[in-house]
Order: sequence, then structure tokens, then C-alpha cells
Amino acid sequence: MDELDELDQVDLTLLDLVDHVLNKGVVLSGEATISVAGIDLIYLGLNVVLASAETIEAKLRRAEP
Amino acid sequence: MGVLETTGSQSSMGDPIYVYAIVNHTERALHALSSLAGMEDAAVKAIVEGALAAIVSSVAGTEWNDQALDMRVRDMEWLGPRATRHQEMLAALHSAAPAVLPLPFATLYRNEAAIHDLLRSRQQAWVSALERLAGTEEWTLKVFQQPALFEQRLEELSPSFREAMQTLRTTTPGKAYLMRKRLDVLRHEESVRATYRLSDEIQQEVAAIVREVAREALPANASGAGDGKPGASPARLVLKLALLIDRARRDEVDAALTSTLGRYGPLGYDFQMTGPWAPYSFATPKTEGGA
Repeated sequence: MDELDELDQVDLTLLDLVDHVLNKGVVLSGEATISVAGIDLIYLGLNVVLASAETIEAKLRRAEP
Repeated sequence: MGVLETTGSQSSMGDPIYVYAIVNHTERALHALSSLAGMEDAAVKAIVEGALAAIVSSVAGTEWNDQALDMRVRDMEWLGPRATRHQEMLAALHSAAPAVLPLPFATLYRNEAAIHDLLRSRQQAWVSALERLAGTEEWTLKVFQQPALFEQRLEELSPSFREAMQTLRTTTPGKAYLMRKRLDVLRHEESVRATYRLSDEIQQEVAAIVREVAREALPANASGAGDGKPGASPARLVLKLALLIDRARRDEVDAALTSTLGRYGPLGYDFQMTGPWAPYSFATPKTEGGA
């Protein structure tokens, strides 16, 4: 799937970053706001967590003495 | 051109205003703004009301509106650089100011007057929050379980699991199917138990030296039972904790965690810490009543 292939290229750091800025912080709502609060990483339609675990495993294997 | 705008001056052409964070109205934090580049490289400024300042920049309404955003956040090529810019802003503010209240990506307001209203209505709550968060930073701890290694340990530790595995190796095909189902259940149960033990142990270990711990919900696919085939499955995310710590105690926390996590390595666990972050996960107090 194209989206998953694209994800393989995405840095694990970037995924952690997106996780922080999309879903966290003081969530504001009201008539004067236009915000995209509540976008879950899974909601993006990407198997993000699995991909980041695979990336971790690859990094750990490389790091083994 | 001054960096402080204390009157509700008009934003150009009704463009939405992107709000990154709320800080104290302290000189030090706000003098850093002229060196920062906001979303789409726009100039960053402060909107001040009372003791608070909202850190903002203008964005194009054609790109930053409900419909367009809804599509664009799903495109990592669009989202990646912009989420990065948001985090860069937060990191810069967090290093300059004693305390920062981060807002999520794409918190947009229609005009400056609305932001003044916001700061007025939240004045006391946010002044308190900034006091609470002064001198803190956030770290995220992720715990991964290596299924193959974990399963090896499971055979050692759990007699019922070991027995079921032995039966599976020698049984008829029909019974093997049922055996596998039983093993899946046992594996999952033991995995959940082990994760709870680890979570409790970590939290006990750091309770005295961190401000707060928040256990985060995992996306559904992360905590599924998994197929557990030795050697075939990648590490599975089983636990995610956000830690709010005093910046000055970073080394202490690091030492305590290293010690606890070191014991769990041989049981099939791997760990990843990311940070420091501005206190994204702790901006709203847990016990705050009302909206």
C-alpha cells in the first residue's frame, strides 16, 4: 500500500513529533476557533505504531554488539 | 517594528491567526520572538492581555480552513514540515521561558479580539497553570515487547503455558487448532499482566522524583494479541508513559529509569525515551473541573 510504503521512509522521530503536536496541549474550542483537534494517528489511516515498532527493531538490531 | 502588540490591531485581510502557546508576559521570552520563524515562515508576535501572552502568527485562510486542513493533515508530506515547525516554535519558547502552555497543531482564531477574549476568560486558570509548570519538561517513555524473547520467558515462567506448548507439539491437527487458540489467550493474558507489573514498577520507582506520570492509551493495533510466531513478529508497543519532571532533576530520573528498565531487558522488553518536550501532556490539570 502506498501509504505504508511512504511511512517506512518517515523518521521515527517525526512520528513522535506528530503524536505530540496533533493530540496534545491545551485543546480549545468555540466559535472563534478553527482547529483540527482530535486527529488520532490511526485516524490518519496509517499503521503508524506498527511502523515505528519495526523501525525500532531495526535500530536495535543494528545497535547490538 | 515592536514585537509586542497590546492593542487589538487588525490582522491583514482577515487571515486566521495561528496560536502556538501561552506564556507569561515576561520580557525574556518575548524578546526571542523576532528571531523565530512561524508557520510558512511568517513573523511571530505576542498578543498580550494581563499577565499572559499568546504567541501567534498569521496563516493563509485559503490553506488553513476546516475543509482544507481535514485533507492536508492526512498527507504526511504536508503535515511533516508544518508539525516540525510547530514543535520548533514550542522548543524555542520552552527554552526561553520558565513555563509554556503548548496548544495543539493548527489552533486557529479568526481575529485578535477573540484571542484577547480568550486570554481574559482563562486568565486565572492559565496563570496558575504556568506557575505549576515552571521549570518542568516532559519525557515520553515507550516500552516495546519482543514477542519471541517474551515467549521464551513465558515457557520458563508459566507452567500452564509450557504444558500447552508441549501438548501442541505432539497433538493431532484437530486438537492443535484448539491448543493454538488456548495459547493465544494465555500469551495475551500473561503479556497484559507483565505490562501492568512493569508499569507499576516504573511508576513506583520514579514516584518520589517526578511531578506527574500519565499512562497513555495505545492505538488498537498496538495492543492486539499478535501472532507470537517466534522470530517473525516485530517488537510490539505495550506501554506508553508521559513523565512531567523538574528540569533540574533530569539526571536523577534518568538514573532511576535506567536501573528499572535494565532489569526488564532480559524479559523481552525494549525501551525508548523521547524528550525533552514542552509539557504538552500536562498542560491541563487532571483535577480541573469544568471545560
